[in-house]
Amino acid sequence: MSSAASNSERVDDPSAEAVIDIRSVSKRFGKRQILHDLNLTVARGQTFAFLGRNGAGKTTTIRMLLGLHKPDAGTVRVLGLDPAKDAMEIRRRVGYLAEDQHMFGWMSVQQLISFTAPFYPTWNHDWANHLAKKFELPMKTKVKHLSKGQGVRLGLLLALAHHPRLIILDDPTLGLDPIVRKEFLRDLVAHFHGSAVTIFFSSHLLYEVEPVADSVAILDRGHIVRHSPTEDLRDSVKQIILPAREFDAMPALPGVLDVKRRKYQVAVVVEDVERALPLVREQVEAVEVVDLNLDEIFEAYVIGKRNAQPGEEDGHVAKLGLERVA
Amino acid sequence: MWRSLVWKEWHEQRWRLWFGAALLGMFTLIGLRTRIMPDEQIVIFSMIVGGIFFPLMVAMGLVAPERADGTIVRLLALPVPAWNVLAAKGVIGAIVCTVPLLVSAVLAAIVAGDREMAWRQFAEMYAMAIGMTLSTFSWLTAAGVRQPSEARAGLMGIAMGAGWFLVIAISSMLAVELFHDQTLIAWVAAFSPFGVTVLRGGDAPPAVVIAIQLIMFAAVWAWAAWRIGKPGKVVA
Repeated sequence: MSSAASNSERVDDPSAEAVIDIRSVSKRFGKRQILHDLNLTVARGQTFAFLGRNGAGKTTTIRMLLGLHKPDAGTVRVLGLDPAKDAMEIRRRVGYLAEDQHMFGWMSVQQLISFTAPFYPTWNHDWANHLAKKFELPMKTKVKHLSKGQGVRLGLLLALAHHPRLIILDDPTLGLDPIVRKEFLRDLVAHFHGSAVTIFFSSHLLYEVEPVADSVAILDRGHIVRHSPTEDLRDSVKQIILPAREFDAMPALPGVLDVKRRKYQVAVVVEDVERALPLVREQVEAVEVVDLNLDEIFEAYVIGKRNAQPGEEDGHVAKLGLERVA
Repeated sequence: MWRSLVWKEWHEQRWRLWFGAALLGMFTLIGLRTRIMPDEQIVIFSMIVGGIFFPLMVAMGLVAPERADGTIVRLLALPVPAWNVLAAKGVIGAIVCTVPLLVSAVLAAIVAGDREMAWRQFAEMYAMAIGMTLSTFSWLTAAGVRQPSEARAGLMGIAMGAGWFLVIAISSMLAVELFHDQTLIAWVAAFSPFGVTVLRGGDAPPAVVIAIQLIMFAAVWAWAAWRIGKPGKVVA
């Protein structure tokens, strides 16, 4: 795994080769608008975390990358190819681990591997056997008799055995217990440490992607509300705690994501602490700045915003100048 | 790739073939040996079971269970066009539908060949049965290709069959003459999944009926291939 710092440079560098490039993509199913004007770039070698609640549009985006859905508007490029035209070539080069692994239960592990191998010209049988041993998969056991953890490991084997350049993991640990989730992530990190493979990791469990992600995008109801390197996100999104009386007298702060009012204090989550803090300090000296983990940042973007609409819960929020970040 | 897909379908569908062959074979054998009814009626009954009920049983178990189990996503995400997945299913399904009728035909020929019915009559009726089974199987597969469960696919197939029966029944009441001085019913039936039955005792030109059936066959599979890749359920 390359370091977050080196990857943050790559995110900002427009010349960095984009493995995934999504521009102004919209998608609707019937009356339901799933994606709105989505823009997303993932550079080569990154571990990219695609975060969003269930129903945010993550799976639709992934299926679009694989050419399973076509965008209503906008362009998609994966490894330089258009999924609408070159879906087969993309699928040959991409390793895909679907959400909630559904495999053919009647097949044995060996049979499923043998079934899958012919679809990929670059399939490496020795490598598949090596992974099967490493993941401790019982080759003769039927897939339906595998534990959930073994099922996910088998899915990972199938996604890796053809040496893909890009690996798409769609909520791969859904339904797994915490120990198995950690084991899966450990396998993932161990496997790709130092490699040039790009990982697109979709999840709604933020704490699981936090240690592995170089870059993060937060998807909320079809909109990207934030896309930045993980370190930048942690450095810029902070919680400022200040006295309620001073806060009430204060002019609108820029980039407020969430406001939580306590008895004599207000906890404000801001998107860019370097912009907001000097404005706060003009009014009040005694402020506390709190670091947030990815979970709390995600909550501020996704839930905080909704609570902070004018006329809801907190009367002060209306004057804070909230706007969508996308 | 193709071999992999066919191998998978064969493993999933073969029990239906054994079941169908055993059931239809035993019925034919017992019916013709005991002579409880005329040979022709036994063959007609075999045609109905083999030409309507077996295709329904096979078609509802082809795609819908994959949607219910979620395995369709794995299949469609493979680097192979969706129509290849459907084609593998179609080929195995067609074999599974046809073999029981062939078993029945062979048994009927052994037990009652040239007894009440001439060889040619036997051959014609079974050829027609196989034509009908392939036609109904195609229609039923296309109808059930996006259904989320086997039961829904079965209901959709029954509704489609009932719809065609209704159309045929209504058109039979209308004494309208169309091309070649043929009645409306002759033409409507020729387009239906049961179109090959018009060939026997019908008054529509056989070559035209066969051409219509082949066009419908191609159209129905093209429709199914177009639909199989569509999302059955939106997972955002």
